[in-house]
Amino acid sequence: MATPETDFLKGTLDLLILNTLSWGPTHGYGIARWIEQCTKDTLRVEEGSLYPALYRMEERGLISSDWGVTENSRRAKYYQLTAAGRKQLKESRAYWSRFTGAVTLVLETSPRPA
Amino acid sequence: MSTPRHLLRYLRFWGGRRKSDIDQEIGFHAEMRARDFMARGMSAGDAERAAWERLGNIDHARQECLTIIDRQERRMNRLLFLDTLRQDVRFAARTLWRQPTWTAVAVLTIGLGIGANTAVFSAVDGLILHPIDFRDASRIVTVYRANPALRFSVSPTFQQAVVWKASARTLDGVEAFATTEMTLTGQGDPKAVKAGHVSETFNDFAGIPNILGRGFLATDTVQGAAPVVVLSESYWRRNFAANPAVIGATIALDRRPRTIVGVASRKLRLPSSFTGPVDLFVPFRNEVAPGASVAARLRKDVSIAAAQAEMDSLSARAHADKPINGKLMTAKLIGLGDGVWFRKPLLMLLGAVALLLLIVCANVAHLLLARGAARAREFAIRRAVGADAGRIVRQVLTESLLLAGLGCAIGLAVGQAGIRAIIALRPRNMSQLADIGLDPRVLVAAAIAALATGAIFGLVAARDAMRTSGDALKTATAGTSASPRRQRMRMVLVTSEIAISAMLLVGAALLTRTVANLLRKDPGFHADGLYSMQFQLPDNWGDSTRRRLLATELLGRVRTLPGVESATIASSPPGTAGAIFGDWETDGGAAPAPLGLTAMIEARPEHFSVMAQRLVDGRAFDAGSRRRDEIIISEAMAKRLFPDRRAAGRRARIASPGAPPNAQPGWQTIVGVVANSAVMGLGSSESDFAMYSPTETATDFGGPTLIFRMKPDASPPMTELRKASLAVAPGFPPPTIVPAASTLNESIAMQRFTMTLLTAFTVLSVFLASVGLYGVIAFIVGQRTREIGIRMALGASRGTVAGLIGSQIAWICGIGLVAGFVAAGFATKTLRSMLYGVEPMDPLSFAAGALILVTVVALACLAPMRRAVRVDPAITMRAE
Repeated sequence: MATPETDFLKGTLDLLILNTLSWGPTHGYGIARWIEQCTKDTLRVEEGSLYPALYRMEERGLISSDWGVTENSRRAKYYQLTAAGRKQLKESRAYWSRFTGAVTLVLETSPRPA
Repeated sequence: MSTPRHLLRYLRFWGGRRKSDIDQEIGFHAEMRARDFMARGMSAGDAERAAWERLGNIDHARQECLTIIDRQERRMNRLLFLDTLRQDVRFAARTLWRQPTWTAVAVLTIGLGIGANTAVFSAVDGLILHPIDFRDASRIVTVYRANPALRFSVSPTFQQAVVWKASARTLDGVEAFATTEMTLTGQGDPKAVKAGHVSETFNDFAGIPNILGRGFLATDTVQGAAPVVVLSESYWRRNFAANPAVIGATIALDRRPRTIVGVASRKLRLPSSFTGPVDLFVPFRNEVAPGASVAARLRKDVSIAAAQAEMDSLSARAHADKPINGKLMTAKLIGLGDGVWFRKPLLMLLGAVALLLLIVCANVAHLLLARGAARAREFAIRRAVGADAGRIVRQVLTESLLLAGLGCAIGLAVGQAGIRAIIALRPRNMSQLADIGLDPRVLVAAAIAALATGAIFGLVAARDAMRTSGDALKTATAGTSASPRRQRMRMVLVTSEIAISAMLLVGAALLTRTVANLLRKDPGFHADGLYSMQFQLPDNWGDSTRRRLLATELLGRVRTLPGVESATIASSPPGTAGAIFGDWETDGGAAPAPLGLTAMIEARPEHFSVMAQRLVDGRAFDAGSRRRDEIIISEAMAKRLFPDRRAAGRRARIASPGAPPNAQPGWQTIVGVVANSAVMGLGSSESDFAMYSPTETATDFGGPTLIFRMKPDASPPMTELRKASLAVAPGFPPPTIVPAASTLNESIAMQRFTMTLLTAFTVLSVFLASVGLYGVIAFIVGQRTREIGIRMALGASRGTVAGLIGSQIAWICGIGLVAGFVAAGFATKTLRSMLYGVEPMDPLSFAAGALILVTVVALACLAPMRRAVRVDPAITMRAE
């Protein structure tokens, strides 16, 4: 279902994943839950795009994966940031601030009332 | 980029389970979601359903992930492959490095084989198979005029080419062209240049536009047009430093200033088998170069036979095609490569070098087999500790390929050197050889041959070694593979190498004897101390008075020079001459058999005494001979024209039966008969028919040639001669002084060239064959060391042992020799046309070949034989 929120989410999924992982390694489900919890369920991760995104980022070398065991003794694939991923996160965050700042400016200085 | 090492590790331990990863992940995700829902109160069934629903279009995502996994795996495999390859190559290189002699021998052998083949094949290809780079070159033919009764073809004239161009429907383009020597002045010293005369449609015919400026236009070829010239690319680069501003500049050719209007591409060559590259092009003007070569292009899908048929019918009707000496000349078409006159020797060389390649392959196979046998133990150990058989095979293959690769690199260098050597050694009358280059296709083909040999025999060696792996460890001997089949294969290889060498030896011996015979041939004049200087005056130089003055002044000056015994002027240097075709008819009226080719020489009265030629009848010319239309003929010609009478005093003339009575040429009186001499070089047999016509200036047939004889032990005064020639013909480069012996040598240059190359190949072959033989005999001796030790312990003498080994050698050589000679017996028949004074089955050559081969074989087997007889029975028995 395409909502304004999910559209924005698509373009920034990578950034969200990187940021989530910056708190520590976790598996795909964990990333989804973290984002939902942080945003109090406003942002629901489109799970159809989560795993391809994870695989793409692994191919690019931003994250790495390893099989591990959860608390419930289940086998799960854990992802973690690589050095390149950390660097990418920093840059993306900086870009995001600039981007949102610019958009905010445009919105606020519109000649017509919103 | 994901670090390969990381993924490598992953792949190595978890292998192909990667694809199921995504399913596990998604399953886990769904399970966790369901558990979450259940924690909130849903039932298990509902929770699961809801969880999966929540996941949404998971199939698409899964597909994407699988694609990514696929991509990664492929990259992984590539890296893995490269990694293994690198390892293999490094290992192979180390192994080869550890046995430097063996490696050097193998690499050099391959290199020589490939290089020699490439060089010769490039020459053959450049000259015969693909001689020219024109548009639709395969359809280009040369057009001669010929008549079946005459043995030779004649150059057409420009008018004929025009007629053919207009009327032949099977031909798509007819081009007449010619080459002359011209003198270039105004750029430093006067230089001789080779000029190609072409028409305005030449560029179009070739399909090769000029790289600078323009080609010729119809306006350039008319009488009185402003003289123009087009430079050839190589000449432009060499003498004008590739300066694009040459267009519009002027150079003086034959004292006439010409404007440079263009530069022709390197690919633009005259489509003739007789000419080499030219320096520049000038418009074809009929009066300047009447004798032309003609090339034509067949129309698409027209065969040579069809075009020939049309030309035959055209000639039957043509009036422009004047009969030569009564014989109607028809146009004859020959494919461009077929006209190369030294086609046969080149093909023979190709055959020889192919044989050399066979020997090379055999030797390489040999080396690899021997080495494979020696490494059986190594392979056995490796197999025993668990190495994968496939890996070993792959590694051996890598070694062989590396070896072949190195050999190819050497082959490239050898090929280049070979081509340069061919160009440098080439005889002057094979000037096309100046143009050949290393053909990449040939190199690739030879390389493939080398690689294939390396691969095949490397594999054979490896497989062979692997099969005996178990036993090799058990036996106490060096573990060398002694399987009778391998042994037999080695014997066969060596025997065939000897056979091929024997064949080549016979061929080389035959050619050497031919050249020796030719050189020993009595030229009919005294060549020692005789020199010539050939002037090349253009036709527009001065009138007859001026020319006569040149002759007298030149003679006067030269005769007074120190050391000069006598001098004269003739139309060509000794040993060369122009020739005409003709039947001669005699005064008696009887029509003699056609003579064909008659050499024509203009001679002054003192000619025969300067040349030291013997007059067998009559007298020499005197001052009035020219007025009286007298001629002197050679002995053979006299015998043919007057078989039972004296020729002196009789009259003869060139027959033209078709001409009306008042247009018949006048009778010429034969005043003398001179002994046969090599007027057209040592090689040709037609040189026996010669006609001398009297002259003062000898400029009727081209530039005058000064012939002079030095006193015994005197050498020609170079500077004075130079000064003299500059004085009589200022503005022209002084001609080179050539000893008569050189001219004679040059005349058999083709035979000498062929002989040199064939000898080179033969030496190589014999060398390689002996190396191969050495290897095999050494191996056999090594094999039978124990046996020899036992025999000696039981009382056998050294002589018996020698006899034992010797008999095996004798067998190999004997069979090889016989096989080779039998093959030679068939092959040399094709050489008949190249031989002189020897028969193809010449016993002396065969004997010489056998002797050389036996000697070389004996030398090669000396060392192993010595080792065999020195075997100490005590040592060999102890090693048991």
